[in-house]
Amino acid sequence: MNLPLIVPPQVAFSLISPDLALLVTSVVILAVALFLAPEQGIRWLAWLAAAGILVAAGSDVILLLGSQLPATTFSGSLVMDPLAEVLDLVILAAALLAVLLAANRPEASPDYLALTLWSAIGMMVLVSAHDLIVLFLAVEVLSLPLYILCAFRPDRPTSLEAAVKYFLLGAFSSGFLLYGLALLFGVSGGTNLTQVAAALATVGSASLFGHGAIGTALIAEVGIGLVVVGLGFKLAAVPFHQWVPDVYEGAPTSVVTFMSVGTKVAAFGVLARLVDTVFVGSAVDWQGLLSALAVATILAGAVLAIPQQNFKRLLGYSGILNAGYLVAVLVVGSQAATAAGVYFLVTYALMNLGAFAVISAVSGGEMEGVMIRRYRGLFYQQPWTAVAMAVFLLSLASIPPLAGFFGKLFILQALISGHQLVLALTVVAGTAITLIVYGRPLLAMFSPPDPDSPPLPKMPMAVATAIGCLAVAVVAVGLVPGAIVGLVHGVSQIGPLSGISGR
Amino acid sequence: MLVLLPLILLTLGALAPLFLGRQARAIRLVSLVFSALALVAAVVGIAQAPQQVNLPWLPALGLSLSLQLDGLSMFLVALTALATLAVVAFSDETERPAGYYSLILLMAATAVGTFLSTNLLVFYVFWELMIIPGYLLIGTYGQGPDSRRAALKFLVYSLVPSAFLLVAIVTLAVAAAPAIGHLSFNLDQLLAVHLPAATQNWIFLLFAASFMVKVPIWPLHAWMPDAYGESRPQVAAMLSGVLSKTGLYALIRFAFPLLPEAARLFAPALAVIALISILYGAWIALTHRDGRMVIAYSSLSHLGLVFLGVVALNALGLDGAVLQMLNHGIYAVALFLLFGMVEEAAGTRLLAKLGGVAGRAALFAGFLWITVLAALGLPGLNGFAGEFLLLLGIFRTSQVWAWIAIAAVIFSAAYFIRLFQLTAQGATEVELIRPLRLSPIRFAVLVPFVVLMVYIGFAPAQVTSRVQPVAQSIARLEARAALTQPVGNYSWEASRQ
Amino acid sequence: MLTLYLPIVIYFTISLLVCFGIMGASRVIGRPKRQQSVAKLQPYESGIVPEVQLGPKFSIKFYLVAMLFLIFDVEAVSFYPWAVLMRQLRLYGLAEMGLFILVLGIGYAYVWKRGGFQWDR
Repeated sequence: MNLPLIVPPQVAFSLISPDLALLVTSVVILAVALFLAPEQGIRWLAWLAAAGILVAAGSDVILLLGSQLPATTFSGSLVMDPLAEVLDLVILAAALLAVLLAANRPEASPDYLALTLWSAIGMMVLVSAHDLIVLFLAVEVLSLPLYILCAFRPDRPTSLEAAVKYFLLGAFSSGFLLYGLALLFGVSGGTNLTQVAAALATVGSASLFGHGAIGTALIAEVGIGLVVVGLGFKLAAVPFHQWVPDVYEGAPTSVVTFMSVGTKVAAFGVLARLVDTVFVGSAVDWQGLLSALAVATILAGAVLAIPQQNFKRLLGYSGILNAGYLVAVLVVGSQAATAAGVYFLVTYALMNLGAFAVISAVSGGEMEGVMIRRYRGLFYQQPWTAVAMAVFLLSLASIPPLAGFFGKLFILQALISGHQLVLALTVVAGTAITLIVYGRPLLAMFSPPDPDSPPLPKMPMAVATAIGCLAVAVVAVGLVPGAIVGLVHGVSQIGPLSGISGR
Repeated sequence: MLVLLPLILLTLGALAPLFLGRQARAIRLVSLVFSALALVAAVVGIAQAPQQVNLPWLPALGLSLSLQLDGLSMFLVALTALATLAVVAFSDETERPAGYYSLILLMAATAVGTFLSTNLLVFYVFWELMIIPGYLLIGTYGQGPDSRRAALKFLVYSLVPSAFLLVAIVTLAVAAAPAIGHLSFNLDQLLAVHLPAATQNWIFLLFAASFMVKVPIWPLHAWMPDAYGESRPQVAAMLSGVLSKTGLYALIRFAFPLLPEAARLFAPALAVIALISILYGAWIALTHRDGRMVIAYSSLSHLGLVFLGVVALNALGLDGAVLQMLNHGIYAVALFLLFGMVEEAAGTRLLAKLGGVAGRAALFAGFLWITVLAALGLPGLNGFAGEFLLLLGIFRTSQVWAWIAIAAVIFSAAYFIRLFQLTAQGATEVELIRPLRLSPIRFAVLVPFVVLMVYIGFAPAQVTSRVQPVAQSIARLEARAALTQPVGNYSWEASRQ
Repeated sequence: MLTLYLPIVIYFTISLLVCFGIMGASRVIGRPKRQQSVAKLQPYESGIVPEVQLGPKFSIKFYLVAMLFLIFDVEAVSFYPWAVLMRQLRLYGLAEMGLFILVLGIGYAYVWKRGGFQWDR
């Protein structure tokens, strides 16, 4: 038998150290849990998970500050660049908060912690994916644990409903994604994004009645379309958003906290990489596709958020809306625009995590606690919680000078500089509508308290600290936007892939 | 530093109540002290002006914290501090004091910020932030049954145009960037750029819509009756005395100088709108049964006249506009607060049920009488000086406009005297639930108002001479625009790179 | 290139035509709706009217066991390529496989500990 010589891939373990840290932590958690009684020591395991996440974040920062980036590993199928590392940090922050929020809740268990970490690994791999197969594997690794996590309150029918709904639609979207990736592979004959980009740059413009390689161009167009559809599900873009409100309402708040930021970051990261590496150089009309998606997402997300009475549903629709902004900024297709999107995503993560942390603390795990009417008079019962929540909501409504405003400003600047004025007007129309949406809970918090409402649950120290840190961060990033502009500037300067893809 | 001082003091004053819990008296005292200090700082600022600060904020985006105290802004800053002091003195919130006083001072701080900023983006920051305290004050400290709806209306009317204002601001900066060499939001640099007319026009429309809502000018005034009617008189005083000025100020400071050709193009249309505002406001004020609404609609009419003076686009009109903004602020705040005391004492604000206050509280009625006289433009008091100058400026641009506007001035005497008669005089004696007594603090706060009414009435040049240089430079900009070649084209069409 | 797929398209078209053709034909040829009885609309089960709800209940344990079997059985597939290339991959492959089995083993032990294999729980 004559076998080809197989060379083991050169793996730079230092480059994937954040992922390895999470993997080791999750396995250790399961191993330790073997020797603990089921109901005992969850708190210690949660701290262990938090420590693992912090180690991962630390090695991430070391990578970001060091001179190794940008670099590829696993034979060019993973790329580590500032874009990926910055987004990794956001994902890790979301995972950390999810672990902290779950520590005192019924959903806390070794499985919960391990699944959260695995999902985070999937997200981190996804933003680094530079290969179609790795991309798909990462999507599955991030999704499968989330399906299970959504069902972590089996005592609630809504939690199970959320899990089933999310699973069915997620599996459906994976099909779209896989088909799209297969078509792209068919066009290019390779799975590495560099190969795909090279192949797509040469296909003719896709016109059904034109001359030339009609078939190839059409397949490329359909492939890109299907990939965008598949990622649109993960990003919660309209019309692929139907799962969002129900899943947000039903799933445990800590899980929603994690996935509302994590999935969005991961999907944006991979879409930005695809735009930058593959789409921009191709002759396919991807801008029209993304523009339509962005306009629909922004308008539908904003309008549907208005009548919501449930805070988690409201934030679900707000998540849809913000996904629209992210898609919109990608239409420009420049690296400055990607940097604007990353900046927006960082600020969005801060305020969204904060808002969910407050919801989790105020509701105390009760279904009734997530209704907006529960927030009446919060300012007179827990003034600082209310002030923090006001900061998060105002920032989400992009009221200056909070973090969210500058995120929106950079997006607007990118759109206007890219002569995408229609998208710019859509973005501010969405903003104008959401101000009304976030105004309602804001008014409730400062209204006289409802005498019948039960007392608020006591807030765990870790959660209070997290909320405080996030609120301070939202204000500080707003007052000193230059602090993370430098970081994001790095993303735009080095760019997701320059010097690697040869573009 | 002196420029920043009122802003810092009012912001600190807004934060202080959060640390004082439910101690209503302490919170009120702290708010009084901070607004009084801000007033002192602003008055010193008038003496030391012009001054400016330039602190880098976000250089990558051409964003610097540029604040300027000049003839245009210094009186409005002082007015804001004075109005805040009066509003706090006339407030008596004991149920939920922390939120109330904090929001009032926050509103004042953001208004001061809009008056001072000479960077468009910094201006926008304050402009947008100003809406939040207004929304919360109307919505959660409202008086009427529909205060939440009124708050929502205020929010929608304020926020929708100002969201689009951001697009206009960023487009302006992006369009001007090639001429400047980098992205900049600084007024000085943007003023030097002459944009093509097509770009100017739609940016100007977005600017004007957003600013006119805040004044308000017909037909963008629909939020005003609800907001003024459902909120407390103190909040209404803040909205009418201070917030309305930010809109007019922004028109004078930004919209007209930055976009001179568009301003010239739209000036006749805006003048018609202003005239409708003047007449419509006067007519409603003449017939309304609700006393507070009479004051509200009189503001619509008077500020319409100020707007007409701005639209006249000459130095005299601008000078008069700034003077009359100050005057209106003084007498509108006093009117809302004094009539608010009557409302509280009588338990109603329907003019038919009021009357005879003069017999019960002579001193109070005296203050009300002087304020009403100042408001209706009696020569020798401040209202007259402002109106005279405004009409002179309008007359230079168009005699027709001026004659129609003069008609409105006559109306104004009619409705204010009706207001006073039905409140303070007359045969019907109102049943007072509470005694109408001016506390020493309130008396002390009212004295400077009366002094100013008389002082500006006799010596308006103290104000106008300081406004004049700025007004003239703005008027010159309008005239110069036609002479230079436009640069920095910005088109709607998406261009693919 | 697309012409390669032409037979498939034709096949799909014909099958769709047959489907809709049969359904349409039965509508056209068959009796009008008002003459149909309830019995005719029932599923046909050798002439006997179904008495129980279809889809009998069976224990959820089957799913669990099936899923666990699937996971740990499919993992075994990973051994085959390694077995074939074991000599070439040398120590690297051995270490890799050891780690793989370790992780798998911890997962197996965890499932065991949580009672995943207990039939009569």
